[in-house]
Amino acid sequence: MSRRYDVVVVGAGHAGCEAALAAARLGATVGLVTMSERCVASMPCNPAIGGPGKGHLVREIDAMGGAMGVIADGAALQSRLLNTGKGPAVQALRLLTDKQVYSQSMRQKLRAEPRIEMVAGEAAALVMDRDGDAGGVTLADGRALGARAVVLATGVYLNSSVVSGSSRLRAGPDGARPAQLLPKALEEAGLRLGRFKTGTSPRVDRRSVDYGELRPEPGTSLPLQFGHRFAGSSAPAATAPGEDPVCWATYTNETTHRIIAGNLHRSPLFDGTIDGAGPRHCPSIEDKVHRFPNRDRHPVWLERESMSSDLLYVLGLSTSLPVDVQSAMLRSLPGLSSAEIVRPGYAIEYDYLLSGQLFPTMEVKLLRGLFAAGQICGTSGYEEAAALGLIAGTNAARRALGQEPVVWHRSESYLGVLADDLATRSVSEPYRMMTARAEHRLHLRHSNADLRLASLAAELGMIDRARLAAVSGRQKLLADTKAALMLSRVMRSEDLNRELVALGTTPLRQGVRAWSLLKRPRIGYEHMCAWVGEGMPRLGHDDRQELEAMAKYGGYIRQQENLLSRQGRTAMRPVPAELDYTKVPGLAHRAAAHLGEVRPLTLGQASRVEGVTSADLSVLAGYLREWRRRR
Amino acid sequence: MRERLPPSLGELARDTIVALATPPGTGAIAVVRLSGPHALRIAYQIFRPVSGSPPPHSRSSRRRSMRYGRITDPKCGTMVDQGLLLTMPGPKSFTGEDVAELHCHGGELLVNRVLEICIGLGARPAARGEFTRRAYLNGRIDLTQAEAVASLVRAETEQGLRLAARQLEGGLGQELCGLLRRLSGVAAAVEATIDFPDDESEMPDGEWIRSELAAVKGALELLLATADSGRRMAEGVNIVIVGRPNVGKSSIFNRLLGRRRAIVDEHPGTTRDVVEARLDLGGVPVRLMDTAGLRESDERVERRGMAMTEGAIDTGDLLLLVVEAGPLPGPDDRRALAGVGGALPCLVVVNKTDVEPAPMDADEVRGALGLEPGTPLVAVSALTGAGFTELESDLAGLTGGPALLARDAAVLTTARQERAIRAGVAGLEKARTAYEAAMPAEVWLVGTYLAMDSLAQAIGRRSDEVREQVLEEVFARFCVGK
Repeated sequence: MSRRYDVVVVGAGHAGCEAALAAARLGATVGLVTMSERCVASMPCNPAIGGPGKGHLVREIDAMGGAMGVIADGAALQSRLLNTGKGPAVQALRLLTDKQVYSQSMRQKLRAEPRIEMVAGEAAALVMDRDGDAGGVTLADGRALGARAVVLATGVYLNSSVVSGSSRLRAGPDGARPAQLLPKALEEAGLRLGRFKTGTSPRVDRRSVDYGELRPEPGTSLPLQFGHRFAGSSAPAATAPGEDPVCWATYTNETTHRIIAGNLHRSPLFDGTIDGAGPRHCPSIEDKVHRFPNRDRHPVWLERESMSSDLLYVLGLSTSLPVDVQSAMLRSLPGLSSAEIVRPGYAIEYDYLLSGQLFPTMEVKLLRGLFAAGQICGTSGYEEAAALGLIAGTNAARRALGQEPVVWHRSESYLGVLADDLATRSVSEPYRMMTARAEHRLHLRHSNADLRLASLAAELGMIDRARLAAVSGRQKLLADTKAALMLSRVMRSEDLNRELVALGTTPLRQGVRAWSLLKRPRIGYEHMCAWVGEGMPRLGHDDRQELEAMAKYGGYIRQQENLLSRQGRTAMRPVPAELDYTKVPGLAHRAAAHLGEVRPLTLGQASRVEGVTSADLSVLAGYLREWRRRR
Repeated sequence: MRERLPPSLGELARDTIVALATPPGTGAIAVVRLSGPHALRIAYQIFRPVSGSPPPHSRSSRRRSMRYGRITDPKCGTMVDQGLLLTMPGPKSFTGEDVAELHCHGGELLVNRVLEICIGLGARPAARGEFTRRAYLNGRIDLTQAEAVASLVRAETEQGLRLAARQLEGGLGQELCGLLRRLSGVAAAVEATIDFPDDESEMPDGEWIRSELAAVKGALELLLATADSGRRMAEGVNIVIVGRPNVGKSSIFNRLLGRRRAIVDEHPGTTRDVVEARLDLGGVPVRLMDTAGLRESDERVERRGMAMTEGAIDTGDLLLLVVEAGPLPGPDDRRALAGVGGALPCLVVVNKTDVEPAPMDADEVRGALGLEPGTPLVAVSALTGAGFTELESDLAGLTGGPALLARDAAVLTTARQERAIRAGVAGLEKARTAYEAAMPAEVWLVGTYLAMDSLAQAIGRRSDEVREQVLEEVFARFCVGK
C-alpha cells in the first residue's frame, strides 16, 4: 500500500518538525514518518532553548515563519537574557522550557496543519525514481511512501547505542528504539557514515532534594520571547512562570572529584568502549575533572523538566559512569545527599553523514532529491537541528514544486553560517553554533533577525503579508525614531554634564545631536527619553536594543561591510555545480581535487575549501568570467 | 566498531613530478629529483642497485636509503649510467610526499635521457618552484619559508645567504606564529565569556588585554622597520655615481670595486656608457653604476651616454654625488642633481684630497649644492685610497645592512610580507581605538581578527583556520560547556 506526497520527512524531532512545517507552508503535502508518535519534538537533554548563537538561530527560524520560537515561548518556565554586560550583538535569550508542554504544542501544531500527515513507522530504505533521484522511502512493514523529495531528520537514532558504565545497549535516547535499517540502506546508496557520541546528565526526583542548601536561580522579569509579537496574541504559557523557582545552582567539590577520579577506569570514555568523537563544547564531568584538575569545583544546575513531572535535570554532570558512581557523585553535592536518581546519565553513539556530502541547501550531493537536517548532519543541539530542518524543508518543498533551492548567506544570517560551515568545512565533532563562528557577528543580531529575513521569507511565501507589514512597521518605527534623534539637539547643562561624567563619558562643551550621544557606550535609549523630552516613542526591549545597536555599531559595521562587501560581491557569485575543475587551465591539481569533492555553489564557498589558495581563486574567478561571457 | 574517516584527498589522482635539481650544463654530478605517489616505483624501475632491488611494495623499498647502482632504460635494459639513488619516503621528506633522487654524471645529453625515461615511466615535468610549492601545501614549510628558499637560491652576499637561511629555519614564520598565538589567546579568553557566559562570566582583565594588544602591535612595528632593509638585502640596492665630467667618478667606482674596470682618462668625457658592477657592501648586494658626466655636449656619443645616465638614475636607490676638493661646487655640479630633484637619498663624495689636502667646510659644500644640512659627506682620494673605509661603511649604513644582521630576530624580506604586516598593524590600531572608546568586546575583536587574518596570510594560512584556532584555545584553556 503506498501513498504519494510532495515531501517525505523521516523523523519528527526538532529538525523533522520544522522541515515538515516549512514544506507545508510552501504548499507541499508532507508525510512525516516517526517511529513513535509520543516522541514528537522531544528534548532528550537540557530543558532549555536559546543562548548565544543558538538563540540567534531561534530568532531567525521565527523570522522565517518557523515554529520553535513561538512554541518555546508558550512552554517557557523561566527566561534569561545572557551577556547583558556585553554589546547588543551577543546578547541572547534563553528559555527554560516545560518539555511536555513543548512536545504537546508541537504535536498540536502539526495536527492543525492539513497538509501534514503523520505516519507511524520505521523508514527502512530509500526509493529511487526513474532518474535515479530520491523518490520516497519504504517502511519496515512494507509500506511505500512516494515523494518528490525526502528529508532525513533521524537525529541520534541511526544505529544508536546507549553506553552507561559497562553496559552497552542498542537503544535510542530516553529508552526509545534505535533505527537500524536505514543506515544500511544509506550506505548502499553510496552515502558515507561516521560515528559521533554525545552524552546527557542524570535526572533526580525533585522530592529527594534539600532546597535549603541550594541557591535558586531567578529568571528575568523582562517580557522577553523568541516569537514574533504580531500574529495575534503571543500564547501565554500553559503554565505561567510562577513564583516558585524552577532552577537552582550548586557546585561539585573535592569529594565529588575524588569519587570521579577513583572510578575513571570504569568510564567507557577512558576504557576504550566508546570510540565515537564527542563534542568539546559538551564535556562529561569526568572529562572536566580529568582535564582541569586544578579546578576545585565545577558549576552544576538543577532544572525542572516539566511542571507535570517530578524530574530535575542535573545540568553540568553529563556522564557515562556506572549508576552507582553517579549516585555517589550526586550525593556528594550540597542539597543532594539523599537524592534519588530516576534516570541515570548516559552516553549515546550514533551514525551521522560524514562531511562533504551536502550542499549548503542541505541536499545530498550524491542523490538529488534527498535532503538531510539535524544531528544526522553532524550538529548538536535542538536549535541547530530546527534551523537545518527549516532549510532542508524549504528546499525539499521547492524541489517538489519545481523551483530552485534557496541558499542563506553567512553575511546575512546564522542560518547561512550554519549551512555554509557544514557544507564546506570538515566537521570532526558535533557542531554547535557559537557567535564566534560568525565573522559578521555585529550585523547578525538577536534584535534584527526579522528585519534581515522578512523580505526573503515573504518572497518565498513563508510568512504572510500581515506579518511582512508588521515587520515593515517595525522598520519604519526604528527609522523614524532614529531620524527624530538625529534632528533633536541636547543642550549643554551642568546637570547633564554631571550625569555624563557619572556615566563615565565626556561632558558636553556645547549642544549636540541626540543621536551622537546614543553612539557613546553606556548611554541608552532611556537617557534619550530623559534628555530629549517629549515625543520620543516608547520602545519595547528589542526595539530599544536594536536602536542602540544601530547607533553604537553603525560606523563599525559600515567599515567592516565595506571591506567585506568587496569580498562579498565576489563571494556570492555562483559557481555551476557541474563544473569540471580539472578542465580549468592554470588551476592547481590540489585545488581542483578539493573543489571537485566539495563542489561549492558560490565563489565565497570555494574560497573556504581546504587546499584552495588565493591564486587558485583568481584563476577560478577569471575562468568563470570567460565561461559566462561565452554562454 | 565501525570507524570511518573522510576519504583522504591524497587518494585522488595526483601527479608524480620530475625535474633536474642541479643547474643545467656540464658538471660532474647531476641530480634528478622525483616527488609524488609513484616516485619510488619509478625510481626502482629505472635504477638497479648493485646489490639487487627490493621487491616493489616491501618494507625495505620504503626505507630511506642511498644505494649505488646502474641507471637503466627499462624498455631495452641498456645501462645509461652508474650512480646513486636516494630514497626518502613521505611524509618526512622535503615535499611531504615520497621523494627519490637519482645522482648521475652531469652532461646535457645524459640528463635528458634520464628525464625522458622517468617521464616515460609516468612522471611529469615539474613546473618552476613546484617542489617548494608542494612542500608548502603539504605543510612541511610555511609561506615565509617557501619565500626563503627562493631568496636562498638568489642570494648574492654572505649576509643575504645568512638571512635567507635564518628565514628558512622558520625564524619569521615562528615569530609570526607566536604573535598569532598571543592574539588568539586574547580572542579566546573573550569568546569564552561571550559564548559560554554561564561558565566563564568574568571578562579577562582589561590591563592584560590592553598590554597584549600593545605588545603584539609593537613587535609588528619593529618587524615593519626591517622591511625596507630586508627587501634590499634580498633584492639588492642600486647605487648610481653621478657628477660633472672628470671629477673622478670612474676612479671611485674602480676603487670601490677593488679592480680596474672602467676606462679612466685625462680628457673630459672619456667614459661613454653606464658601467655597472655587482659588489657586496656590508652584506647588501649592490649594483654600482658609473655614469657619463652630465654636461651639455655636442658629441653624439656623449649624448647617448647621457641618456643612459638618466635611465640609470631612474632605477637608482641611492646617489653618490662626486665633487672635487678645492673650489666650492658650481652650476655644473648642481646640474648632476638636476634630473633627480631630491627624490633619492644622496651621499656627497669630495674627491682628490691628495691634490687639495685642506679640509673643506662640509656645510658650505652642501649649501653650494643645494642639499640639506644633514646630507652625508665623505672626503676621499681615489688615487691614494684615503677615506674609503669611511665611505664604504657610510654606504653600508645607508643601505641598512649591518643593523639588520645585528638584529637577531626575524626580518621581512618581501613586499608581500610587508603588506601583510602593515595590515596587521592597522587592524590592531583599530582594535585599540575601539577598546579605548569602551566599545563592547565584539567590536574591538573585529580589528583583532583583522590583524590575525593578516598574520595568517603572511604565513600562508587562511582566515577560517584562524577562527578554528581561537575555538580550539577556548576549549583547551577554559572549562566551558555542559
